[in-house]
Amino acid sequence: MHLLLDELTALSRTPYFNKSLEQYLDNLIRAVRHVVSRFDNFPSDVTDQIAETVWLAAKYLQGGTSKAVPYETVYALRLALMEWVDQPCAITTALRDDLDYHFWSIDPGKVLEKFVPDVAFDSELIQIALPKLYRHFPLYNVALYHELGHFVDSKCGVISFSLIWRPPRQRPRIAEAHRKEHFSDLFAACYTGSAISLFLDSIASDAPISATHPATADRISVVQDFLSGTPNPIVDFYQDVLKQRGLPELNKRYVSPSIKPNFDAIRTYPIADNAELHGLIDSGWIYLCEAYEQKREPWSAMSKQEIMRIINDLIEKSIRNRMVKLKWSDATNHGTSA
Amino acid sequence: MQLITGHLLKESILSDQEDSIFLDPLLDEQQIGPVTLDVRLGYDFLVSVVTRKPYIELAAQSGASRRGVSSYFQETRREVGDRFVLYPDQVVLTTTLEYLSLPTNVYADVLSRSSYTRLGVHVNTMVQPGFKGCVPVELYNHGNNAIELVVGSRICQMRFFKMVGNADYVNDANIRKYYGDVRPMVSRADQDEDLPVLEAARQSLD
Repeated sequence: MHLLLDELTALSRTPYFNKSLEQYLDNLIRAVRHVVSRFDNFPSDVTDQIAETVWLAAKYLQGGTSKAVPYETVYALRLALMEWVDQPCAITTALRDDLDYHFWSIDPGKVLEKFVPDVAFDSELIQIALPKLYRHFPLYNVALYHELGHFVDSKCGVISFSLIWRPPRQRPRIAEAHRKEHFSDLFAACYTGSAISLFLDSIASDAPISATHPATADRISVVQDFLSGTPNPIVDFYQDVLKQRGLPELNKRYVSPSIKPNFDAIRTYPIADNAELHGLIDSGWIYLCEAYEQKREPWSAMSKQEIMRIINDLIEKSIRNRMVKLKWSDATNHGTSA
Repeated sequence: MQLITGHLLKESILSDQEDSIFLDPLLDEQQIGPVTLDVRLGYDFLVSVVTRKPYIELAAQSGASRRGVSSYFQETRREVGDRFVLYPDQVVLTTTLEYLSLPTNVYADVLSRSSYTRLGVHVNTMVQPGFKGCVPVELYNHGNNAIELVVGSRICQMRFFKMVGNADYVNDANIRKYYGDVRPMVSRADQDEDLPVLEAARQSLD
């Protein structure tokens, strides 16, 4: 526990770009310090649980200080999150050496609040991991919208409610896992349109049904029905669940911008609003697939690797430029005094 | 070549025509001067670090392992408005905040603004016709004191020249080493095609 405290303290001395993360880390350090100072008063199973939770949180929080996380994608995720969750949340991302994306659902703040009196966290930590290799590939990071869908499900109790409201007829654990995956796919599709199905197709097109995931073909089919407005009982099921829970309905919360004139000239796209910011991922995926297949100008002289790099960079820079313009406009409209 | 000035410069930068000078974001039109365009310090940095290897190898060597150039630099990022300290005798690679796209008949020079040159920060680089990307900026502090730079500040100025003909930068893979980049890239001098030829020349008998 002492080592963990040292680790967290070291992290707190590296500045984050996000005030809520800094605040969260300060709270975490205070809570762990309290546990360390009264270590013998806690049962060993409690200190074990706290240590494991804090150790995992440190890994995710470390990502936030690495100055290498996909800030543009995290910015887009924050915008999406605000439409579903009112309470303050802080997103932290861990960069992994393997190719796994995931969401870690245990908030260390909640664990510590349970055991440590007088400790209160004013925001919830969303811990998402992504492959380090893809940190500059916002099109591949469409998977993070899916992972955010898992957080929204967990936070708003979408699937847990559905299991009570409409219990599965058989194999409840598998049904629960599949419901979670379909919901997160649909959540991602609300913001990124066909990008999530193109991504699934590109990484696991032949994946069969398993205990944890529906078959990729079924997942893509549900997303495509949702996007095309084709009646689908799975989509209808979630719409009913969300209505029962008083949550926003699943609908297209993006506008796919016409990026062709800009991207054909290898220029960034000036994003007009948040709907276009999310929709850029949809347009970007469609554009990337066409650039691969058609091999037209200006891409004909380039390798697939170069095409992928440049298009992803144009997406990342377009989002960053939107962020910079908003900050600039905010600073010039509200004065420059700190 | 003709220097692009006055209303022609402004017109080209504010136009969305394919043959115009494209700049994104243009945070303030005041950046466009009568002869030059001020560009801002970007937010990604590659900072030169000292390693156990005493020098950066560039010469071609068959079969020998060579330490990658990128391992001599450490990546870091700041937000707009953040500070970045440039130490004396330190090489730091960064880019302009702006993404630039040049027509195939326009060439540009990038120079540090006088205010920064007076502090000991010299920038002097060129941008090929048809270039696309954030303009690479190689920072070096020639002074005796560390300098606190502000990300997003107007650190450089560019002057643009219109050429009589066009230069096909995009389709020439030899000179397209730094094309479409939105963040600083380390030198690819070790990939120059001349180097294996020079190595062969060294080994050949007189």
